[in-house]
Amino acid sequence: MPFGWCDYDPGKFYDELFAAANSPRAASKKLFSYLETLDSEDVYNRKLTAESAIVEQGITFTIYSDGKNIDRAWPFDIIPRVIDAKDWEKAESGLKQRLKALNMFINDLYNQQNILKDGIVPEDVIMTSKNFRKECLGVTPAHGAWANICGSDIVRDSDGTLYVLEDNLRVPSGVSYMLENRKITKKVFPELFKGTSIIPVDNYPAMLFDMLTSIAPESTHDEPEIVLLTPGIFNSAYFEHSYLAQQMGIELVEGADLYVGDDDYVYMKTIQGLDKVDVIYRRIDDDFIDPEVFRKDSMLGVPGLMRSWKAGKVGIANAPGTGVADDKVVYAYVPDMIKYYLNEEPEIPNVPTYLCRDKEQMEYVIDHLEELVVKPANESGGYGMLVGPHAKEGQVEEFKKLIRENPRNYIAQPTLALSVTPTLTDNGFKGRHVDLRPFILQGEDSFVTTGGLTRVALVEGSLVVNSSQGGGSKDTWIVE
Amino acid sequence: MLSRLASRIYWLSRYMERSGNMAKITNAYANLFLDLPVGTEVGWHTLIQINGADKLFSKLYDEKTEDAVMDFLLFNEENYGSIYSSICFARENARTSREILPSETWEIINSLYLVSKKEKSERISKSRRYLYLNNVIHNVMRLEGMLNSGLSRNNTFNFIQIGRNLERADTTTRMLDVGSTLLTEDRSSILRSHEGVIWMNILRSMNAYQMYRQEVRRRVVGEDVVRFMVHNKHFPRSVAFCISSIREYSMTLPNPDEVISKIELLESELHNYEPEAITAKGISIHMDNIQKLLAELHNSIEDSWFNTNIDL
Repeated sequence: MPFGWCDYDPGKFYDELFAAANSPRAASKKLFSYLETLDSEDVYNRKLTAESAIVEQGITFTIYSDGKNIDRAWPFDIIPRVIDAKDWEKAESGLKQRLKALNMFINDLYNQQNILKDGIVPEDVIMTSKNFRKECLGVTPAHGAWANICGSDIVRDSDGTLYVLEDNLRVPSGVSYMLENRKITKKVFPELFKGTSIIPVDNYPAMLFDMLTSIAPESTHDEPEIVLLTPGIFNSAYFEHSYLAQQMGIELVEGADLYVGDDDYVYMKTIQGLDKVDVIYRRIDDDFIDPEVFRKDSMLGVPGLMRSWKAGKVGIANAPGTGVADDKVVYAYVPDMIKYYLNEEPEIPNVPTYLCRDKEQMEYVIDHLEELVVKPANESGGYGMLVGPHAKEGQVEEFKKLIRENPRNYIAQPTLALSVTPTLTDNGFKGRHVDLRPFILQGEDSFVTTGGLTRVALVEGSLVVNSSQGGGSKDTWIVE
Repeated sequence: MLSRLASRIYWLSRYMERSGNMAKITNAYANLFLDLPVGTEVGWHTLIQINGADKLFSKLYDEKTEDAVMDFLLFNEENYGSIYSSICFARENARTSREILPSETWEIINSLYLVSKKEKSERISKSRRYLYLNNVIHNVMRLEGMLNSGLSRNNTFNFIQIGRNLERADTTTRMLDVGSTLLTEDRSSILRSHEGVIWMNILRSMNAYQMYRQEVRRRVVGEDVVRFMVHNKHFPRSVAFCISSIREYSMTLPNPDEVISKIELLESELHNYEPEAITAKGISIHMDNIQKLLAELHNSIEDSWFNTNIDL
């Protein structure tokens, strides 16, 4: 047997590359037979190639520690995760369906509220959501699309079924790493790209640009001025902000660069004077975008931005107020929304979810905390969670208390047996758990990235894929 | 170009030039000190006076020893004019404008910052201090050369040039001011008898001695130095040269009228000045006038390009 594969064992988990021991799935046959030709030295040399490419390309993520920012090299695994193009087609269509329904839902909430009147989604869930913004009532953004950029997290259970674990509708990040991962893999395994039909991923910036163009106000002439609004260098995703702005050839601006005039138009301050801005791709949370309307102490935003947006003089992606659908309680109702608005069956299922706001479900959750995953409704990045089977002492008791105090704010899901995929460790190839974050765009048209960002828990047995907590990533191949 | 970026590029350039100038001045002064007889009223504290930092210095240190003065000028963070502060400010500006500059810009400035941070923490010896100052000077030159060959002649380049030349002109006038202050009539005759040595060191602190010698072939005296360092049209550190560079790069930017009118004021100040047989006091007044006009020029640069007028 060649290096590293003789004792490869995915255990009881679904393996992304292998149907059974030594029997690769159809889409990964070429990759596997190629990897078989490499010996140990070859493999670790490829790893070095990847590491130096990461340093050269300056791919970093920032973690905040001791009040100082530290740029860390991006942790990357060289073995790609492969998905069959036929499988992916289904997922793609399911993701478009999902975002379409979510956008109809948000537009409904801020206008007629039919879904509440018809009792499909309980009114109190929305009224108690901190991301429901009354300031947005009565607005319909271009094409009825509120969430223009969505990063949904998809996982595969032990029987191979894909589930949507959550929808990130506020300011999802990670797409730049998806693009960079492909560039690195091309340097590491150039031979493989010749013989395999791996669908390219690099059209994302162009698609994003087209989508942003499509939400420009109607009065705009043929070439709208588009900017990317960043909170600045101290944000953990600043690398991505700067990267996307460069890729699209648009200005990277901070709040202080923008100005809303008495005519309600947004302008940026340039050396020529004021330049009208038509579309803002904002990477700042709702709370901070406009101190006139939301947090008064925000130094990151632009006073008057909401005024301009409501007057239809600027397009904002994602639209303010979109976060209401990012609530994990709302998530539980997405399958119902799909039926309600589209009269269709959901193509990708939700993970079964218990809502603690329901007394019976709450009691069930409290009795079964050791086997469930509990999540707060409005956090992201894996914060404030309880993973029952891995809970530390006292944590279960703490969560019982938290849930009883604020049942609305908690949901629970069964602990999934996430799929694994071969990953290079110091001791050869081992199975490690992965998820997948595709990015879905919706403006005038819909678009889904080819695959997405595969995140991998590098620590043995771990289910946590967040880069701030020991996670890495790998290239994702959609193979025809 | 965004005003914020333009401003960051301009300041990045000014701070780098400033740290290099400060290093040259310190080296030249250490050298001058060796040439003057013991007992003249010039001491390490004169370096503090040159920088107009007496008050801040006496707040931070008890005695005006060589070590204290060097620590203050090279590394003290509370002294915004120290080499270390200038490098930190340059680095902050570079960090937030990385996407429009050649990647070596950040590498040069960041590595200089890392070296300075290390030296700062290690309280360096005299000989190592000399090496460190040269390291600063060489890195500033390296950056200038790299930008010259690696940056397109775009607005970024224009602001780099404007910042550098304004800082350079400012340093030149301040150095000439030092020379004239050391030589005013109320100074001791011993000090005044070393006029030649003093002016030579001032020329060296501006990398100008060799070029000066090629142009002026007699004993080094104040009025010739002023003529060369202020009015010479060919030497790149002379005030006249710097101002004509600023004019050239400003002309390619939008709405330069305000800035050009300030440049014209400077040009007429230079034009109307006749350095023949001038007293040290006269030089000092002339330098003050130029400095005031340079400050006005800076303000008009800010108004024209950085503080976008938001009246519609």
